[in-house]
Amino acid sequence: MERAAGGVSYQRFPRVRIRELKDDYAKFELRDTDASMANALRRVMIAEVPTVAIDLVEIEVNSSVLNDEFIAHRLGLIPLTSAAAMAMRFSRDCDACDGDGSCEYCSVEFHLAARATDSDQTLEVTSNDLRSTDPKVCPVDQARAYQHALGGTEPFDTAAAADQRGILIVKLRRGQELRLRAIARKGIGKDHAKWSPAATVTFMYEPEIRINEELMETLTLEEKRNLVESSPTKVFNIDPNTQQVVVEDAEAYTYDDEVIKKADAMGKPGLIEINAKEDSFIFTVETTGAITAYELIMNAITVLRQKLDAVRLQDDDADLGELGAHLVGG
Amino acid sequence: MQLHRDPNVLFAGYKLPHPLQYKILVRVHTANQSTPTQAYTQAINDLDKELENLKQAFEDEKIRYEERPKQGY
Repeated sequence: MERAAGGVSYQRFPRVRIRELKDDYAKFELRDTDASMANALRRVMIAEVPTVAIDLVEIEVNSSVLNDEFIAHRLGLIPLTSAAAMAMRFSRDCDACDGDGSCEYCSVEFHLAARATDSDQTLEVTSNDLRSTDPKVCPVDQARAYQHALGGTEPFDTAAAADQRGILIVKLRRGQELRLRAIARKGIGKDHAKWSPAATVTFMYEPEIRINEELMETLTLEEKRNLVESSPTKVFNIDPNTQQVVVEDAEAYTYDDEVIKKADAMGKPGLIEINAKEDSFIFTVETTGAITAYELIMNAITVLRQKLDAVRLQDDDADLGELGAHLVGG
Repeated sequence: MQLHRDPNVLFAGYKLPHPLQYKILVRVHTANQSTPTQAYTQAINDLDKELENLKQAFEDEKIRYEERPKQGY
């Protein structure tokens, strides 16, 4: 089979501008690429970037009010720090173990033991009671509390204090007990949403708003006010000095067409024109805390490249069969 | 989409013959300056390079972003 030697490249060079980057949040502009690339990135971030989550639970004692599978499900949904997930193996193709139990390459074991003893108060069993056998993988709020104790740089606010109570698993009454062993495995959001590192990933087209200034001059101040008010989101405003209609926040526009309809109703079609820039996207990425937003983006690119490798034609592609012969012949 | 950027490609499309069967048919028709395999491989290589480039762009932009507060933005 011939190689693509001498083929002309139609490669694009996308540009990126980060507007905001926090541990679990990112907002950035992506330009000079098309919707298929933006959407592929979004979908990979949501459903194909691997994380670690509890997948197998062996309950030793459970006398709580919740049944075993209810607790197992709740454990699965606890986000675990997954920075190491990309380098881990899926337990289904791990050859160091039978894929059922624990080996260091594909799984992490957790233990939980809680018993409500004497007091009349209910005991809250939270993610803080989970004991990990691997310090790299633990519930995200435990990791945050640990970071906090280490650095202590950020001011201790009430939100952080609330975080440190952990994620509630079950409440125990006096005499009730919960003891279990859990195995966390690598997985992807496509198999089960508990493995999705993304809380939300969205992108919007950047709007391009053009005001026909000539036509706008024919409007009275009252009409301009009505026009500005007709947009459900605050996209336009009136300059207090020049009394001109100006674009205040183009990105607040939700493609609702309200101002355009208003302009038509006022008998001034073409007063405002709004187009979506087809090659310019504004992304917002929020993660569950399992990995940072930056890691999520980078891992998504890596995963997407792996997927491209999977659809490459092999030199000895037997599947092509007669089609291959046909292609060479043609 | 990447295939459509190639002027030698006359037709490019895909279909999923059955939603429960994990098999996709890609149809590529090219002009005689190119071959479908050539166009297909080229499109994948271009996408791969685009992503490589994007990754680098992100790394550079992250460094630039972290520099911004120091420059009094």
